Amino acid sequence: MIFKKMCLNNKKINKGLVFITIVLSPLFLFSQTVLKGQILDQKSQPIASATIQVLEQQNNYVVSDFDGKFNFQNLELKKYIFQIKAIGYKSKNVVFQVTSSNNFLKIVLQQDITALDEVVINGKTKVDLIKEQAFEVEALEIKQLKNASVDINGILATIPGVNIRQNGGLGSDFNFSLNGFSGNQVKFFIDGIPQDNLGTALSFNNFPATLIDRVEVYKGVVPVFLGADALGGAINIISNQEQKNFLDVSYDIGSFNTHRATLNGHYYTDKGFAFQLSSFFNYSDNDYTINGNEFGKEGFAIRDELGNNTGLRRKTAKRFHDAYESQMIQARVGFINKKFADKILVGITAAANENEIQHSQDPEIPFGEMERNEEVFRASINFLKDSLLNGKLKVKAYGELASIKAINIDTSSRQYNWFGEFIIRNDKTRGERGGSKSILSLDDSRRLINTSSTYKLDKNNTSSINYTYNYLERSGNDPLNTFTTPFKTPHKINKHIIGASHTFNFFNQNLQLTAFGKSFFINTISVNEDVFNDDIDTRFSIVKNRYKDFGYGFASSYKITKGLQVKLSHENTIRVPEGYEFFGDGNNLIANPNLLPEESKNTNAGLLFNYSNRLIKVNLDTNFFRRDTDNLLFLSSRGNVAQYINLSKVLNTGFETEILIRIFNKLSVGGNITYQYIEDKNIDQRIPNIPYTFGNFSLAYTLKKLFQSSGILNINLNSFYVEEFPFQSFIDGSSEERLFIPRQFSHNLNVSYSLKDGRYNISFLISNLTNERLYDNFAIQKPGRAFFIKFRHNLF
Amino acid sequence: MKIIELTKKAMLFSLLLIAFIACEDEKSEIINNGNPPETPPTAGNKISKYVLGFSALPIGGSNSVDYILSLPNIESLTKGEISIEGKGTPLKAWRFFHQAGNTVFSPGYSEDKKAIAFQLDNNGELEEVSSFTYQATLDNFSAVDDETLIGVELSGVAPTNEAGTMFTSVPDRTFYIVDAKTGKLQKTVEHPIDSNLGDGTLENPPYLPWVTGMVLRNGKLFVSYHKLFPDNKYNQAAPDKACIAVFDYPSFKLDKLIEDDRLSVLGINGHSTGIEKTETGDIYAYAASSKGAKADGTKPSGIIRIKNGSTDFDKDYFFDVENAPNGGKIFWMDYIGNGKALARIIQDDSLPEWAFFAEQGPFFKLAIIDFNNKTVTDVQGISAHANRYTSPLFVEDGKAYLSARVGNPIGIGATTVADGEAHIYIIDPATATATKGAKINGLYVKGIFKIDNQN
Repeated sequence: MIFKKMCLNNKKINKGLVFITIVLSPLFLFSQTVLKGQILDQKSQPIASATIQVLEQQNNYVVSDFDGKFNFQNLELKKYIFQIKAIGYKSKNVVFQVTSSNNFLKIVLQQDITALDEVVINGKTKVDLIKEQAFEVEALEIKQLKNASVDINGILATIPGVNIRQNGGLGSDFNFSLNGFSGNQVKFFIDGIPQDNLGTALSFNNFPATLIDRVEVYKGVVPVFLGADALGGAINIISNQEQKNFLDVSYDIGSFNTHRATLNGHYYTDKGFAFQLSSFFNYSDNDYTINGNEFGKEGFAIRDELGNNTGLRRKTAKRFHDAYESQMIQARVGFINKKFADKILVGITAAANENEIQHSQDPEIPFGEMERNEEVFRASINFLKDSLLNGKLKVKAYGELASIKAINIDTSSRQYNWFGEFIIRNDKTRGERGGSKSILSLDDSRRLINTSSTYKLDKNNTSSINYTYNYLERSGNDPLNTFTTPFKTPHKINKHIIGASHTFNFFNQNLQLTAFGKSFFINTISVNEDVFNDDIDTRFSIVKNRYKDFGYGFASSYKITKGLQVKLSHENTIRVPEGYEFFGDGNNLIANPNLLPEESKNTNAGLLFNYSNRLIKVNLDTNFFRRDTDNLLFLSSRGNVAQYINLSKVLNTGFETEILIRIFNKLSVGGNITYQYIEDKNIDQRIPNIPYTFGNFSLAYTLKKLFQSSGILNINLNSFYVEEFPFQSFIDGSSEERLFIPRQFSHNLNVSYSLKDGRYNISFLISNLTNERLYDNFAIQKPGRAFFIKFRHNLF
Repeated sequence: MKIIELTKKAMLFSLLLIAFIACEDEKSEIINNGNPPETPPTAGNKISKYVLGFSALPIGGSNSVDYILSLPNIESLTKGEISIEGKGTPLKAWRFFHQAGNTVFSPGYSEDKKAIAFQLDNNGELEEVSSFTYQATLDNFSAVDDETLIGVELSGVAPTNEAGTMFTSVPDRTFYIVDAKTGKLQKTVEHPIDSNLGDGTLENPPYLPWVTGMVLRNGKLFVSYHKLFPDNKYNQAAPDKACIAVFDYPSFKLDKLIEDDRLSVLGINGHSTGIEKTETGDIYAYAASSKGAKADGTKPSGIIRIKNGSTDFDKDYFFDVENAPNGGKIFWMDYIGNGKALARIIQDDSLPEWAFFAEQGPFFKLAIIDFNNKTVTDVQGISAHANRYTSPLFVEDGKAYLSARVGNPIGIGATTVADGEAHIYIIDPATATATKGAKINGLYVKGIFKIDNQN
């Protein structure tokens, strides 16, 4: 529409041209040039927030970014003396001749040992800087956790507003929820690349913390560089971005025959050749003991051969069909720091998992043979050029082809009980879960293009644009069940998402404002066939759909004082229904071509407080949020079939608050708590089966120079708390009979010892220290106390 | 490196130590704190109560939850509001409710393959007395007398060869015979009822039976059923045939299969009242001939009869309800008494498959059907409504009590469940009037039963 108007109105075009000419003219008119560079420490770790100042020119300086990089603009072609300063490092003067092209300055700063303890306390970490963005974003550095036996989900679970509900041990299904949103309302990214529809072999519970550097959680309001129709927020995982050679191996062994291993490394030559490798292997029997399969009843009912309750119960049982194995290898080759690209990498990922399914959502009757296996193959290309137009324009592009195959095997005629005994079903057609035996394979083909460019007009104005194209094709095949195969005829979905944003800085950069808009263009197509229909006109039915929608929002922050910042952000966002939600599965999930996207108005108001002196550093972060959601999808049943309809209107209001205190750089104490009140506005009832009060507490102690001068001992105690919440309703049912998911309060204790600057690491974890009976979901018990030991070696 | 080894050893040692200390007695002992195996009946005051299968309003994105609720008297149904706020026992999954004798059974559907038996205890409180699990969902039920509930496991699929070109067999169906007094499953009986493999090809495909009602009369069990294609889509293989299987009972020996071409398939998927018996021993069965009711056919919707003493259709009796004055297509029908039945007549038959199974929408009018005089009389006092009835109709003192929900279809436009209202209606067949009774603070009532504690 806007483009159309512009075309019809010549005056506007002229104005636009004039504007572009004015904006771009400084770039061409003056023979001034740009100096790019990077500030690193002795270990080649980037130093953020270092200042690079022209000596004796107080106001002529730039500050390095998260990656230690800087862009010094408008320099003349002459010799400069730069003074480089960073907290905790000895300042340094560097002489540099600026030439007309290819100015790059790599500066290594020496640590200032005497000020070291103070530094870590006073200096701002990357995470602090991310949190100071106008968006309501939570960031967590993984460094400390790399040695622990923990996966990404385990880390995300400690973030305020985040609740992860698990169905069991390693590799089990989980439900990730962020401020009350869950499922495909929250989108996941790795290094800015959407991960949806990649299957369970690459879900975050597979990735050991060792493989990543940082997590970022965007709450409700999502910046345009993460191109997705995220209704309730986005999680972005940042992998190791350092341009530095390393090779890191870890091995982890623990209770329930759990084994995890990683191999991870980067190799760069001076000429700019790059090779990156990342891999993991996970295995667990998950055969832990549980105390019952029905809620509120101790133990397991013993039934006679007909299935009648005998009145006798057995106290405990072990999960007996729940093993999980997953593995991934990802390799990338290419070049860095070349004239044609700052980074160009071609990559291949292969991943697979095998998952024994112990039970359905209700654990009362177990399965003994059901399995789900997945395989993912992906080829990708990554391109980055961050110095176009005199360093003002940064361009990124990513392309991917992926194939995901998931096989569900349900072929057993045996009906098991929790003691591992079984009977043979009368009807041999049936599987354990399905009405008929099945080896259903779903083949997905995913194509993805993601491009973004950022243009820095001046110190105070940055524009960016992002385009994401996401194509998914799904087809199903079931050799045992040809006539009831879901997705028998392929379903296709095309999503185009265009986002644009502009960031302004005012008042000496104390006020930051980002405004953005996102356009969504989606079309879907599916053909359903009725094999018993002889009428050629009605035998095939085509379901087609086309959507256009627009979302927008802003994020703002204002620094009142050095340590106090307020934030306000808002987004009107949508989530377009997935393929199966539109066109059903071609089986008993029937199509609804009239389905509307889910819509939400998300608002955050936050307060960030930092205080630090030589001894203590305090961070306090509080956020009030409101999520006003309409047209939520509801799976409605109609006799023997089901259909998605737009039904619910939900309002979630709440707050989350987090405090972190670090003393002497040795002891740190932290905690956070989230409260949310989620209400169905159609019937004015609180929504059950979602945790509404939960939090985390952590205590960490670091002991340096233990046993050896380079020895560091870390002791961490992490506690998790979720208040009891009702399963079906807050008010319905008699209070004695109402079903609850009980309160959880559990602790993990981790002790790790590192030598030689993290070259050798060993860590010991006791999870669920007090052996509590923990439940995230109704009657599905999680593992009791478990022990893990992990070895990690950084080869170079 | 020595240090590492030392530390490693120290840690391994501490790990073993803690593991040893933490190791619990893993032997699984047997306890007896479940349901007592036998509760000897003790004489007490006779207390009777009304027991309801109650579906709550869906909250958020979750499905409606079923509750079992007891009410003290008939006034609880005729006046005020029926609410589960602070009352009733919540159950898991979508459920059926059926009564046999003084026991209310609640068999779970699909996800929950367990039937729970509820009775009133000496104090008149509702309690779970037993439960049994089943191998596959039971889809139809009938209390054939006061002592016995029969459930039948059905299927919409048949196995094929590896290439998926041919069907290879049609498995038997399983009847579950349950003792009403104890709530326990007594035995299961496997039987094909009326299955056919054809030649296994798509041109001459198999069909399977889908039971829509069961009636016991003088040692004969009459079972009405659809013949379905085995593609799990519940499509009719023989749309213009009324089919009933006649078994000797309790031997379950098939006596004969009877068919009639005057009307289409008998009964509705999920309803248990496709076939009904009157006080005189006559058996009546109805056909809907409606796509939206998933019982397609080209014959007019109507009613046929099997006379008392006969095991064949009465060739002289056919009631064309569709073309009768005030008539139309029957979505559901259940017997009240004195030769009269209550029926839901479809208002707009152009709606798509399964449409009438929705919980809210102006789908039906209510009518009194007089079997003997072959008349249809509109029931006054109730608007166009929705409600699916999987349990038999509750009748007391000649009046019928049923739940109905008035409102536009949900999920279309901005209509939600909050825009509809459900009530208990009391229908007097003599006057063909409905009186609005208690308001249902929920989605609908699935079944109404009256039981006492004299087991």
